[in-house]
Amino acid sequence: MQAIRASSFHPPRLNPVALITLAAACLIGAPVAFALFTGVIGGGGDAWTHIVSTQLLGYTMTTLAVIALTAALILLFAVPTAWFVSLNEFPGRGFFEWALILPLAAPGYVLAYAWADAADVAGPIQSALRDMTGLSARDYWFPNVYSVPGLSFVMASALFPYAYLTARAAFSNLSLCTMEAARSLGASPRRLFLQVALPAARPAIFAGLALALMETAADYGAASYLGVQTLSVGIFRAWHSFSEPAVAARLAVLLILIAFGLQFIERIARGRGGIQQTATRWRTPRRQKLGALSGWAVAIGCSLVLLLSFVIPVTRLIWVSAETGLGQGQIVRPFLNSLTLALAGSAAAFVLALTITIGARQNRFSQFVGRFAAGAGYAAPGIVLALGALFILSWTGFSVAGPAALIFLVWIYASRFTAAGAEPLNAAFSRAPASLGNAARSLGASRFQRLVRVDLPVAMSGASAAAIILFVEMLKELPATLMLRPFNWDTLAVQAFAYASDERLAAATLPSLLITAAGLGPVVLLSLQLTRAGQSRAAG
Amino acid sequence: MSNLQPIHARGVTRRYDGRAVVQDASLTLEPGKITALLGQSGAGKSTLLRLFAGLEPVDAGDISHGGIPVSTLSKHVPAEERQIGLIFQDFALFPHLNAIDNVGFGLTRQNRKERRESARHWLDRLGLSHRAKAYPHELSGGEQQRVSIARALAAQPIAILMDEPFSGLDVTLKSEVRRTALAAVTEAGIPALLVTHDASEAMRAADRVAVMSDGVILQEDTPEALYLKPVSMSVARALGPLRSVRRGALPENWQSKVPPSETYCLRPEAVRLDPAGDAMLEVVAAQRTSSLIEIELKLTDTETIHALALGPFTPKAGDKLAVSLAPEFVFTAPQTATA
Repeated sequence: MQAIRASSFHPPRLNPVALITLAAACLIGAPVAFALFTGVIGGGGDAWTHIVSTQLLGYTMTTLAVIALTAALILLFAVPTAWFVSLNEFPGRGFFEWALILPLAAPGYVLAYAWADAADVAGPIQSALRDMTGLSARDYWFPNVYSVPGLSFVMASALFPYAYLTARAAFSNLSLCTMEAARSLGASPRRLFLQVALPAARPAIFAGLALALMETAADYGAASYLGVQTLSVGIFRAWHSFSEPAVAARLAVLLILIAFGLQFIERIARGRGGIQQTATRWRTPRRQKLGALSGWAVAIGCSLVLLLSFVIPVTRLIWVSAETGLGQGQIVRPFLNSLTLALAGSAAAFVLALTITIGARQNRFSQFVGRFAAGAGYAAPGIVLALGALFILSWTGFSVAGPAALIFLVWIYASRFTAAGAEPLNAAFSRAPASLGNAARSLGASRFQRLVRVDLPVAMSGASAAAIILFVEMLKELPATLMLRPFNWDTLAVQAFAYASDERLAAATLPSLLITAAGLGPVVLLSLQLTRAGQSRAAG
Repeated sequence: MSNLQPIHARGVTRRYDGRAVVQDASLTLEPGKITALLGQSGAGKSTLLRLFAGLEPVDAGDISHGGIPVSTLSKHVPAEERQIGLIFQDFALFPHLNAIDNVGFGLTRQNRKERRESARHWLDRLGLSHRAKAYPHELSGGEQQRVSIARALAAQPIAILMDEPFSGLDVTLKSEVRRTALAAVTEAGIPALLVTHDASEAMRAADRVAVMSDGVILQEDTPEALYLKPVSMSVARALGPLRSVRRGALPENWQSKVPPSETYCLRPEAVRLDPAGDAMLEVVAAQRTSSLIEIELKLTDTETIHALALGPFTPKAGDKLAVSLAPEFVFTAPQTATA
């Protein structure tokens, strides 16, 4: 009898909900697990010994250098802009508040194509420079985009909005009382920023930064195009050019270690501090109006960030596209392919995200396996997951051809992005009162009824944000698609990459612009939603 | 089971990690009566409520409804089968349903039309028929709590359990919401439990009050009896302010009115401003708190007592006031009142 009583309160680990969550977790985690397994267990052979002695150090150091430089640039772009936009009033603040998120719409590889063209010796910037000064190309130094700093700049431009968003939220959430207490203790605006606001916002800034840097480490398209030998490029080359999947898997282990390392550093940097929020006596600080001179200086600074990260490269692509005409290449088919794949991937990832989010609310076991698998999938670069899928294919004897490959691709998309979709769904639950489940129980709802009548509808309130995020991310995905797509079945990202790699930038512009335009709508929507949420919170 | 049956908890214990958070608690919830469970945070009130609701099992003792056991060591009727209504401090309204659908949530045995009518009736009963289509985020705190009470009552529960239901409300809303809500609960004629840490709310709203501390029910009685005849100083303190004084500090002619003891605890009502009073005491400080004036009176250089007064004028420090003693408000440690 005691056992019956116990079973009503401590469900055995493998009840139906836990089993379904476990199945979802296996589906999400299998590719990364296979890639890791093959990398650790599988022998690398002579090719691996050769890579170790010739290129491994180079790949690793280059990847770390790109990460370090990108981190510095992201902090430079994101933190001051977030600070001024959140807590100061200056000309154009309302515009910059949402416009600084726009670079999220353009993937790093698109910015790389645009900057490589714009900053080329024959490009418009250097031409204008020579026209204005009368110098020849040999008379001056100009930054080289095809370099580690060039790649870092491009990646920072594309990804700084992650840190900008988290920093902006953290600065907006600073307690007025804390700020006023610091002021009453004689803190200057500079000290207020450095010693009060920045330490309080540090965990949030690091969270956004870690996410951006994981994406940087995972990038293949921009690094490959700019000729920077990162680990991602090495993995692709080992698999594609040298047909050495075991070597690729070993390199993938290193890349995963770097991604986990970034997460670990983020945890440490987060520390035990953070923003103290007490619900009752808490007010958002009022924005400080900057003087005319400093106000315009800040506006110019924000404009510069926006120009460099988004306006100049996108304008250059539009220009090239207009110059050469829009009829370059076949665009309808890749467009439809991209759309189909992003929709199918979003749907799969959404279902998985919903499963692990609801599972997490049922018991701790489901919470652990779901979050662990989704976290591992998100941390693993697309290239690694694609490699894992290829190992599974070869292990099971399937071939990468026809619709089967597309199913695998949808699976990899889902594995990579489920965590991103689970986040808004989780947020929807956290906004709902904790006692909802008990209220439903007291009204006679069984476990299944609670799932259908309470949990699902509550989670669905975060569905639109989840769907938007998933769709945009999948539209931009390049390396996994490049590795797993059926022969002659291109998406916009693959087509743009292929044209750009063939030095046919004019042809690459249209697919690049289409990806950016398709991402722009959802990003603007998300940006306005976030801005409005911030405004209503400040008003309340 | 009829709805109008008492619910008994007998010797109920609940342990977390070996530590008893509810210890040997016995309490009866009578039909048509509101029983308040009063105590500080961590006293075990909410846990006892959860045991009544079936959200947790008992580790000892039993709970029965109309003589039929629902929680024992060997049997546990889960919450969803108990038909016990729950009201939470955070309202727990389903955010995806409007007010009328929230109220109709538990009415699964009725068809759509009946459910609507029933939900509308309960919204009307709680003065919310005009807000039927509003979603929780569009309702004020008071309205949300009234919807949650309508939702619980619409399901025709055998009892209703309320966990600090009015704590989240604005002071100005609280009394109005409480009055409407508790009237509806009483009218339903079912047993009701009100968990609160507010002594004045417990005494104002409940027919009976159980005082709880460290997982143990110290005393259960009518508010009047508890206030005037607490069985311990802990109970006396839980119900209102007390001031402790030595026997030697009391005016001599008051000492004969109270039983022998080293120290006494006095409620503010024990000292009355009385022109024919048998003692003159000096005012140390006086403060008006809306309709009442709180006065601190000097007994010795180190001891003072409190008095409450009605009237238009607030005395000043140094004034001498004639006062008399009401011994029914004087308690001797550790036991009962002197009256």
